[in-house]
Amino acid sequence: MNISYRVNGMLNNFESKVDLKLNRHRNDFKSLLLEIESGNNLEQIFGSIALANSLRKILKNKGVIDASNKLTKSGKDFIVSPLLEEVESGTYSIDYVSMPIGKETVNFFSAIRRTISNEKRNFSTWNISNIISDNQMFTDRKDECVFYKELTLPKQLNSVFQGQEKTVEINIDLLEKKYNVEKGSWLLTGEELYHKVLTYADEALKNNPYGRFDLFNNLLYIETLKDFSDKELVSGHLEEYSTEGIVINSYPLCIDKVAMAKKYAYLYMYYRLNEDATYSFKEMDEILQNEVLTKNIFTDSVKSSKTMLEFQYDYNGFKDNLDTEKFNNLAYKLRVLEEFLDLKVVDNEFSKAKNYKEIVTKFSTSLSGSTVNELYMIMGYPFAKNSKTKTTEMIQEFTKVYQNITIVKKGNEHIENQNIEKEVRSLGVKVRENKNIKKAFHDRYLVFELKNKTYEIYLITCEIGQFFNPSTNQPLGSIIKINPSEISKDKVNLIHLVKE
Amino acid sequence: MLKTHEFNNLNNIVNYGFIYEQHANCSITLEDIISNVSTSLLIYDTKGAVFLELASKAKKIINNHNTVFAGLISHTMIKDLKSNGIVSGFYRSTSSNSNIAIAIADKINAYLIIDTKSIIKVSSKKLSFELFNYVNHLLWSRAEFEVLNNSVPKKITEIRLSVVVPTFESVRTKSELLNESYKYGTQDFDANHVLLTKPKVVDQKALLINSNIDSMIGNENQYYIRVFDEYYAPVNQDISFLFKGSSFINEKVQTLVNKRSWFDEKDRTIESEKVFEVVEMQPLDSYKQYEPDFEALYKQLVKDNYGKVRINVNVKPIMIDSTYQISPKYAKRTKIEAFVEESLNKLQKLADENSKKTINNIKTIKWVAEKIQKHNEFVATNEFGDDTLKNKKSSISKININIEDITIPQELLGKLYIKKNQQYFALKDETRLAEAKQWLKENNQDAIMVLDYE
Repeated sequence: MNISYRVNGMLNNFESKVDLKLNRHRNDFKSLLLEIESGNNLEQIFGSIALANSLRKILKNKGVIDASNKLTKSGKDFIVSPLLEEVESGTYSIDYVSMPIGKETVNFFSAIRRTISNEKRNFSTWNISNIISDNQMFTDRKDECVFYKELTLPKQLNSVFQGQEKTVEINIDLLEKKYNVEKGSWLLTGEELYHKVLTYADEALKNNPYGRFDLFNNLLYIETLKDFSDKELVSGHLEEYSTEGIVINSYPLCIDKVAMAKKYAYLYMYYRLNEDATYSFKEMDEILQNEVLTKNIFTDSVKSSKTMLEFQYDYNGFKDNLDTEKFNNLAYKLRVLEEFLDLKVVDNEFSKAKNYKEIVTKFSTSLSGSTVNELYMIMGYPFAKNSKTKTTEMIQEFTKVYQNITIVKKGNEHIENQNIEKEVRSLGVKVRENKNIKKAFHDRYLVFELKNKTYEIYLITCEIGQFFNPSTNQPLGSIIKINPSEISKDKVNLIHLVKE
Repeated sequence: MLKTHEFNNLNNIVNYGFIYEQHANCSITLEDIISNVSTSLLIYDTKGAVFLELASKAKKIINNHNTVFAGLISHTMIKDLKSNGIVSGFYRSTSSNSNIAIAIADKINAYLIIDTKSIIKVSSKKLSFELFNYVNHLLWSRAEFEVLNNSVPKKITEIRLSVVVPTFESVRTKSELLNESYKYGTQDFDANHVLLTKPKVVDQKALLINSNIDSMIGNENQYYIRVFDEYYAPVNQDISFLFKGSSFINEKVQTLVNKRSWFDEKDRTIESEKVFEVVEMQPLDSYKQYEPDFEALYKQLVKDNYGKVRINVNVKPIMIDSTYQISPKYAKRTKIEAFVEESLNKLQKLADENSKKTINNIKTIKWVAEKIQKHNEFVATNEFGDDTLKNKKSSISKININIEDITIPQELLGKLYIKKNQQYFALKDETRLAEAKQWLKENNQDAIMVLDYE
């Protein structure tokens, strides 16, 4: 994804004695505050009571610690953004940019150098208005990171040595909040410049053929699926659009209408099935819930709508939501899938379980914790960002019996909820991924590596972390013990892939 | 001259064999299966027993995209779909072979298809369900190539095990069946009556069954037919159309007459009576007395079994035909005659008047043997004038010849022929047979008497 503003402006330079107010990036102060936040003793760190006292005094004056030497709110904020206001005076060579944004022209200082040129220059009145502040400036000192606050000429001085003006291309990256001049180094825009350009972009993008751009959330709320290419719809991104200097690439699409979301769901699955994939209708539902609904392509209200939460693919749905040509391409395959790949839950010891505890109990009767060296859970969507994912709950039960658990992600595309992974890892579970598993194995498995170096393998026909229907507690799939010989084909072996 | 002998085999005993039996035909046809399909027809047939015929008859289903036509077939068959005119439908190929073809209409009506004329409709819903689930398991979990409509065969690389093998209750395993006792069974089972797909000699009572069934066990009211792997499907309806015959031991030929049977390694139908007509050629002087060796002729002529065998031998005199050559004696005789004449002419020119007279007399002798004898006597006894004449005479000498080599009978009596160094005396009819024999005797010659073709 990329959204930027590209425009030609004027780059100028003047040299003068000036007073500069800057925000300087101060990592040394940040480190000090981090030590204090961690409760470390400054006397011990510096080996000097006097030095510690002196530092604390400075910090108190800056308002970052209080009387009891604890971090204040501004101290905590400083750790996040360690900018300290400083004032300096001297003779500088300063670049400034005049950049048109719509009808307005703004100016900002883009570089300060402490070395003056040898050029012969005119001495002219300094007269720059509409100056943007907070932007980062290039400086001639290495490792220096400063942001413009204010510039004043010393009293009695109202003229400066003016350099030659030239036309330059200015690039503002609205995602990274960075700018560059003449394809030079990327520098941070600061809030003022960013908001000015953002406001302009918002206005400029109002007249577009696609829908409504939400530049705050970086989403394009689309009006109809027809405006986009197949590739754009499958990836969920507008490939390229530009207007009035605003250039957009790979911009996320967003659907806020349930009817369109439903249509999109069928279109998405059309492309998956047309690319040789074979899914049962239940598996298609699972893909939608985990791969599509976790993306931002639908608004939260669409995602949480009853229609989408209870959405299930069916033959007539494809017929109603795809255009005739697409439907005809897929119709026979859909009939085959509908007729022959209508998987039912297999009636066995696991099919009557109502919760993970009961499942683990069933396993532990034949596979006690002491006999199992490692349990590998080969999963498609272990940490999917949706309410159906109960991986933590599942893992909590399994860890009660099995000490060593590794979740192996098959490589299915989906958006993850980092919190779930964090919770699972905190339970001592290892997590790894091998995308080659998805290429060779359709299903998901539990592989018990026993201490005697043999394996017991269970096939799971749905996601083990989403095993129970949230409303009925009924299993949504089956757990079936299979012969280890079944997990090898054409020199590909699941256990090898799991351990890779 | 007709000579006849009859052999009666009706009471002969055949030690072991089979009599084929004609049962009522199977009442279900491929068309019946097809006409009852409403949503899908799945056929599992890696042997190719009926797939192509079913597909060609099911064109209406294949071309109707609301009805799914799916085939689980062999790798070879899936490559040849297009060349066999099959351009629609869903096909996958597997290495898990079917023993007989299984067709399942609408997922619930299963048929065991032994061949196009031997179809068993599965009456049990449970069995149909198990068969469908197993074939469907193979379709999704054990297939290696796929053709959807008119696509080229695509390799299935992904392992999908989620369509699992059903728990069989109706379908039985071989090990289960081995633990039970049944009256009939193929040779892989130990049953009292063995079921054979091809007739062969076994040391027990045997029944012949359809050759497409490789393993089967059961009693009269229920059989188990091997359908795939080591699994057997029960059938409890009338499957008499699968039975082709039964064995017999020590049966009289009389009971096998006019029935299709098998014994001595061969399928046969014994005719009640068979007549063999034989012509035998014998010498003219002996054919009337000739008695054929009927036993030898039986061995030579009768290759199959018959209730009764009559051999009619028409004994005829040997006749001259183009395979016989006229005896070289005739040519030799002509040559000698010319030579004697020439020699006499030469002598005549050298001789005096008396001798010329003698020579003229010799010339008039008709009998060539006598003529040569006189010529030789003349040459031996007469001398001529001077040396020159002697020298001239030296070109004339006695004619040395075995008189038998040029002895031939009068044409009216017959003619001498030769074939493979054997001399034949060909007569125009039998009337001068004695005379001819006398001629041979007198001339010290040996020849087989035959009839001339004129």
